[in-house]
Order: sequence, then C-alpha cells, then structure tokens
Amino acid sequence: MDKRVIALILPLIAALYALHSCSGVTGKSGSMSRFAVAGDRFYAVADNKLQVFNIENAADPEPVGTVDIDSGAETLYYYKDNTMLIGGTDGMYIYSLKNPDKPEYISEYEHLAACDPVVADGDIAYFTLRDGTGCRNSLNELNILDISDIYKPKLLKRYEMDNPHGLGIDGTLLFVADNDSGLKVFNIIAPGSVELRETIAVKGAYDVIAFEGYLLLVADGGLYGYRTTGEKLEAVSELH
Amino acid sequence: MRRHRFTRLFQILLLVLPLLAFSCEDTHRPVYLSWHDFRESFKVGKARKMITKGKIYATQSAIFVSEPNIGIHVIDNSDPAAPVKVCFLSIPGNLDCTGKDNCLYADSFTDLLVLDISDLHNITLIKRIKDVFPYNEFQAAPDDENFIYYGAVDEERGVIIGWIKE
Repeated sequence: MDKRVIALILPLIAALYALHSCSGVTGKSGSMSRFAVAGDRFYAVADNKLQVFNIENAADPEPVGTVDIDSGAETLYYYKDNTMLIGGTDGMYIYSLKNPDKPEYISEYEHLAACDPVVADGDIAYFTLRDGTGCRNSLNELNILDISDIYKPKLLKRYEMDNPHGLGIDGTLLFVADNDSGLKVFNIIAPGSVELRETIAVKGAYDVIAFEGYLLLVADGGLYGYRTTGEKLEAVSELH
Repeated sequence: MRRHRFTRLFQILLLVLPLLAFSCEDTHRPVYLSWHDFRESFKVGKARKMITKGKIYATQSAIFVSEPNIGIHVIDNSDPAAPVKVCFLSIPGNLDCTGKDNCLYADSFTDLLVLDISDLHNITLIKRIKDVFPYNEFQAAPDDENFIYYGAVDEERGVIIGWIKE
C-alpha cells in the first residue's frame, strides 16, 4: 500500500478507536482519590471500610454493602483484570473484583510507614510514602513494585523524595507531586527503574492526572495544565 | 482538718487556673449546620477563587476540583489551552468526587450526592443518598497538631462545618 495512504488511514483508525474506547470510560480521578469506578460499580473507602455501590444505572447508585479493610485505607486505584489497588496507612493492598459486589483480599505489600497513593501500569505499581499528619514514621519515598504475580507483590526499587503526594503515569513518563519540592518528571527507563528528567518549580504540588500527552496538576494556588509530548513539559494553562 | 483540705484545694486551683487560661488561647469552637439545613445545602453558585488544594476528577472536557469541606470548582476544559471556571458547587463536607457517564458522585460528610453534569452550565442534584459514610465530627477541623476544642461535640445540633478559633 502507498505509504501516504497508510499515513492517512492510521490516525483515522486510532481516532476511531480512541472514540470507541472512551465510550465506556467517562473520566479519570487523581491518585489521591478515595473513590473509584470500575465497570458498573462505584467504590469508596472511608475509615476501615470499602463501600460498594451498584451503578448499572449511573443516576441511581444503589448501596450494595461494605467490606472491612484491615488498616486505614486512604486511596483507591482500579488496576486491571478486575483488580483494585488500595493505598493504606501501613501497606498497599491488592483486592480482587471478580465478584464486584464483594471485593476480596488477595495480597499486600506491607511498609508499616506512611500514607500512600498508588498507580500502576503493566506489571509495575508505583506508590509514594510520606510523613505528615495522620501518617506514621518519617519516610518520604517513591516505591516501585513488581505486581506481575498479584499474590506476591515484590519491591523493585525505592527512591528518596521530599514529601511526595499524588502521582501519575503516561507511557514512559512518571509524574510525582512532591509538595514544595515541585512536580518531578521521571523517565521510566526499565521496568522498576526511573530517572529524574526535570523538576517543575511549584509550591505545594498535591496531585496529578496524567492523560496522553497532557497533565493536570493541583498545587498551591490552583490548577496547572502541561503538554507532555515534548522534551520538556510545556505549561499551557493556569487557573486560580 | 477540713480547713486544711480547703487550702489544699485552693492551692491546686491556683496552680491549675493559669494553665487552663493558657491552653484556652488555642481552643476552637465548633460551627454547626443543622441536619435539616445540611440536607438542603447543595447550591450552584458563581465561580470562585481556589483557596485550598483538593482532589481532582476530569472527564474529556471538564475538570472538577474539590475545595475541601466546602464544595467543587467546575471547569470547562474543552480547550485545554484555555480552561474556564464555570461555577462553584456548594457541598459542605466534600472531599472527593468521581463519575460515570453524565453523573458526578460527590461526598458531603455522611451523604453521597449524584449530580447531572451533562450541561456544565446547568448542573443539578438528582439524588442524595443519606448516611452512607461514617460521620467524622473533626473532618473540617484545621490541620493543626495543637488543635484543641472545648465543650462536648453535640451531634444533635447538626454537622460541624468548621471550627472558630477562640
């Protein structure tokens, strides 16, 4: 086939695919969220409980029940294959959603340390530990786990941070909101290994949502948007 | 003997009173919103300045940013280079939000609100599910290690939407 035809058709297919795959997915939450939507269920963590709502009819959530979580659960992240990652005050928990109404404990990675939002891509999970009110010990780190075997999450690497909060992934880029130390942008150079590419100076970096080629950051003073396709992040918007 | 006891008590009081006065400097008083008013409190208002950073949820063309314990900033992001604040949703006790289809799920202390966000300029409350989340009377307390309050917290009087420093 003519190369020019392929060059025309490929983006079209990609666009159609993007439209199609978005029809079921309505949005994205920051990593600090205590809420998660997975298919026809809405999950919320509060205290040591995971609440389940049936949202087959999105306008009419129906409380289904609650599941007790061992430790203080702080964040929820829907991973894949009916698996949910829960960031807790003393570990990262993996729960199965095979029965969506009754999430079931699969395994955990215990760190006995601090608060942690978690995100994942492929077989790798990234989470941050930080000290601060309500969190134990004074660890400030980015931890990377191999979760290819969800029954045995394995620590791959730890990186020192200053006071990391939310984080996000877009392809080979990892973003960490490191409070007053700014927004840190890492290259994921190998599974489980990252390298700092740049730091965006911003006070109180709190949470991010990473889209394809676009990043939203909440920090002191408001909401910041960046284009992430270039060699360096390009600030495109700012709202206060 | 009796008089001796009294002087002893007086001595203790003399010792303790200044301590009480000192600790009072940092005490807080709860601000209540009656349960009835709380349940009527959802309101769409004018866009306002973002004060305290909160959690975020974004769809293809909109962003929702929580102003912790106060409400949600609604932002039209159909042009990511020029996001526009559309309105502010007053939702006491809000911390998180997420959504499905054209619905936004937002917590409001003990309750879960379902909002129709199909038109950002006309967001409506379509459902309130009462008492699904545990009530934490200190949710709106300042993030301060030295936080002290006095008096008993009275749940009958309503939800505590804030604390005033005495």
